[in-house]
Amino acid sequence: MRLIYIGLVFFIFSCGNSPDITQIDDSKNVCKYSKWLRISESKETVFIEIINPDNPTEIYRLKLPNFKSKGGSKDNYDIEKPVERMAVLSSTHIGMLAELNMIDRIVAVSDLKYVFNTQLKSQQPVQLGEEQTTSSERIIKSKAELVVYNGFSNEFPKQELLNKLRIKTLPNYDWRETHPLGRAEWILLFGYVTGHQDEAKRKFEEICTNYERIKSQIDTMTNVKILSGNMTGDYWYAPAGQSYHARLFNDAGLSYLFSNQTGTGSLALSFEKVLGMSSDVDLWLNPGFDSKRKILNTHPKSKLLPPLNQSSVFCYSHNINKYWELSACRPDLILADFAELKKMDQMDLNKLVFYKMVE
Amino acid sequence: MKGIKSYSAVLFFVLAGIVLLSIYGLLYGDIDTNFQDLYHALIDYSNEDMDQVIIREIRLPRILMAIISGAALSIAGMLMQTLFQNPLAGPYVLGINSGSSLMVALGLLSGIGFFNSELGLIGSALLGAFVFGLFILFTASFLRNQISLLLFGVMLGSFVSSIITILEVGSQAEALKAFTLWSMGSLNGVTIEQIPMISMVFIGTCFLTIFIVKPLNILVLGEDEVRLMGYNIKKLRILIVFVTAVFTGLITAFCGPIAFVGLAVPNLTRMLFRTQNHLLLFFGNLLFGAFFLLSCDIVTQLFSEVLIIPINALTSLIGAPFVIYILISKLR
Repeated sequence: MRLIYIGLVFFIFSCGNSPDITQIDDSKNVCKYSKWLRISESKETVFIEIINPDNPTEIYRLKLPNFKSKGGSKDNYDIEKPVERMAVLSSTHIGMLAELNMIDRIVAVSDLKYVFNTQLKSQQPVQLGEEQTTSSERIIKSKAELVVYNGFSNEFPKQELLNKLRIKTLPNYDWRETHPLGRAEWILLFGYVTGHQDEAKRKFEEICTNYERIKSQIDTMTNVKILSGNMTGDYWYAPAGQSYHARLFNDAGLSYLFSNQTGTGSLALSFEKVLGMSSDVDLWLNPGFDSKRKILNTHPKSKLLPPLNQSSVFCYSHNINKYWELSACRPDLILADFAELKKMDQMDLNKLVFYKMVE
Repeated sequence: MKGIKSYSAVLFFVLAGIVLLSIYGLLYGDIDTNFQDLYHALIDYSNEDMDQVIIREIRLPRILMAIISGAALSIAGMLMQTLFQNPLAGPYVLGINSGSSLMVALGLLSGIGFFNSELGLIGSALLGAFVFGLFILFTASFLRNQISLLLFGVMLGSFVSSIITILEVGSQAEALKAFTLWSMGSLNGVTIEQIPMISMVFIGTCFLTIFIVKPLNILVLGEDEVRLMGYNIKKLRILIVFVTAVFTGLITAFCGPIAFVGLAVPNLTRMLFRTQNHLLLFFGNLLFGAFFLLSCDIVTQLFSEVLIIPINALTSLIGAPFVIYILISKLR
């Protein structure tokens, strides 16, 4: 259920203003792209601030020792030792921990049905269910020291009770970031709480370098016009012009049909408007289904869209768990897919990581 | 008993309203079109012209589906109200829709290919509506109170929705998405190619309804009268349930569940015509139902730039207070 809606949620929520009550100076902030995560690090201590995008004055603060330094001070810390047992409620969290080779620290997830990582599947972690109906008993049973949740409705259920039991809860708003690298930067959060910040920084730098390299190699002379989104009920939902996906399209040099539509969330458009604009569209991305039959079953009028008849429809739905798990921390791989798709007739389908042709 | 002639002016006025609204609906939209485009789209169609495509492929099926759905659900509601002698009866309230929803959910969420086909979807919805119709008919024989029947319908709806929730939890993401989209209810899903088939089933079922008008008029007086007039009451009941199931299942299959039309419009028609002549009520429901849902569709289109109102939300917004009104005024 969660994954069905997560795509919509990505689009639907729009971002608020920048935080104004932060204790971490920009000069000390380790995070370069993220809007909702701030981290400062000294020899002794690490400060983490997680800003609530719905209410930027509400900041979740975390103080922990710098696990790199051997001695450490006698301060009061929110987390005193590197987290060994973690409950994570989103696929993106699993992907980030996988990048850091710390899957073995995951002791609980929402639902194994949505897990792509084979190592995690074989570990058989405790299944907690939906974020808002998560069983506290199961969290306790899993012996998790830290629960990382999405913050869809801000407060985690039974948060106070868990905190009394010395189980920390931590919101993760990576899904509210509009910059692809900003979303990936949340890997640092996992690095710091597990004491593996150096690996996390190294990994993130690698992702950034790769992203910029792909971006710089993209052929800017060819114009490929793309349509994105699909019909949900009576409306066509598509990423707005300043959203996460629109940014990726732009960085890949793709000419996005709704790039001029303002907003960081989603657009709701009538089908006739979409049809009226898409006569010269070259590619249709993210139709929400992995086959033309399924697209036409849910919305038969999609047959009127030119890309559907030209076999120019691509989606990540063929392996949706893989996409949700890995895409947040690997925007370079999505960008590489888009760069390959941009080659149109010359594209090599075998090079695509997430996307596949919808047939 | 008042005849059609007494209300011919009203019926003609509503018919004219439907025609005008249809023309408006065909011309108005996010893309500017004119009468010339409309003429070509209807008479001399070219799929090379985007304006004509928009009118013929997007607006026309939606408008026709609004007319057919409104009429079908209203006639189904009228039949149920006569069968159960209860102004609160209707395909949505009594749970006939729930039968269709359950079968469609079982079909779509089971992942069996056949159920994902058009035929599978229609078959599931019709079967669900018919089985639930018979079940409600059977249960109604034990319920003397009008409110009890309504509560039974509500309970049936809750029961079905619980089963659907369990099915949803265990289903695959794509199957769940397909079902969620279907359950939202929409007039936009139907294509122009599907319209002839839907129209044929609709018109055929309308003729079947006209065929049972006479016994329906007698049924209002009581079941004994029906027997005295030589009709088989059991067969008549099953025929009414069958007709209702076809109307409801057809619309539910193609548009998803559409709430309250089948309850509000038949009551409104009865209030206006103050008659038990089912031929007049049939035409009244046919036209008022079509006019009502078409108006709702036009309203949702008009406000789409500023506010997204799903058709189901609008019909519920109007229909639910109407049920409360009936509860207060008629069942006090």
